[in-house]
Amino acid sequence: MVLLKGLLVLIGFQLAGEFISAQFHLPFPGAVIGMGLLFLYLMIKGSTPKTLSTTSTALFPYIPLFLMPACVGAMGYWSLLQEEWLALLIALTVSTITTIALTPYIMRFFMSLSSSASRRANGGSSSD
Amino acid sequence: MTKSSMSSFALDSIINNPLFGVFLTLLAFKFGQWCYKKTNRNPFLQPMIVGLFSVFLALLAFGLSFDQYFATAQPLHLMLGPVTVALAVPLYENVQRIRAMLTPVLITVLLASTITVSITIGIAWLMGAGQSTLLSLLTKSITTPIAMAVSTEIGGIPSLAAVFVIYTGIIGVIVGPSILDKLRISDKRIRGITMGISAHAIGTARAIEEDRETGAFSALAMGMTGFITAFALPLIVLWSSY
Repeated sequence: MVLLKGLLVLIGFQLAGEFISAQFHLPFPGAVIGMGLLFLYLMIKGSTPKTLSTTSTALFPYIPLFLMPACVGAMGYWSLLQEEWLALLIALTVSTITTIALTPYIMRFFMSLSSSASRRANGGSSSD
Repeated sequence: MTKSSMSSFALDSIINNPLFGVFLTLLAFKFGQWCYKKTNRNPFLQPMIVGLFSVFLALLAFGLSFDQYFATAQPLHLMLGPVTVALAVPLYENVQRIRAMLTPVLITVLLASTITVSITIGIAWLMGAGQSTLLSLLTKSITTPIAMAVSTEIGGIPSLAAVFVIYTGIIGVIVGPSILDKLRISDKRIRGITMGISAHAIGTARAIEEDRETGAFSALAMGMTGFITAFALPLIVLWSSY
């Protein structure tokens, strides 16, 4: 029954998102707005209801399965991929590797900034 | 009625059954999981990839078009909506857990995703990729369910977007940990953030294997990257098309 209730809530949020997207002509998909609404709801509520954590934990391992029907559709773009595969391969590989090499330094820089800012805020007495 | 036409009639009744696509997909996915286990989790043989090729071959063997298959596999596809909504739950929980680090993580997510998308689009554009491919590349580093929904919205091809996301994730887990080792990055928080930003869910699964803290930071970075991109990208595309 937990899953039933969880799905009811999730689909409810999705439909609310679809409604808002259509009503206000927003450029965001209904499911994405639904995710935003659920996030806001959780922030306001201050904790995750057991139903929702159980349902999402139960659903997530199946995401690859749910993706399969649409991904089979990529085979339909075979001719496009045949023309552009080299560009795609290089673009995706180079950008991913560059990001992996850069992100640690970006993160380290902003971590040191924010820790020195919090030290200043604490009048230099903080020892973390 | 001859025997062969009878059996083909019987076969048709299976193929045209409204649940045939679901059955075929479940079977192919199960086979994919089996192969993944047998090869000691070879990253190229993600259950989904083996599953995809199996479905594709089955469709060829049965002489079915993609549309015929997709119509009977709809129940699985439709689950992507509620699953996308549910992604708010781990995001909320990780934000709560890692509150103190929120600002640096947020800035890093913004910068790193801008960099990765710019490089991707730059190279693909220089090498002559077409517009619909370029639009489908924009969602390459966010988790697949969100990427597909957003790609539809901004005029990309969702199924291609999914393939790009998965390829990105696989490259990320293959080279990510060794690049981080070479750069001597041992801070678990930084390792997690890097994996989550650059290799989304596939990277997060790998980060959880490293340890729990790395996994939590990766999940947070993945959630934030997906969330922010989902709301920023449609606005950017809309604005730049004026």
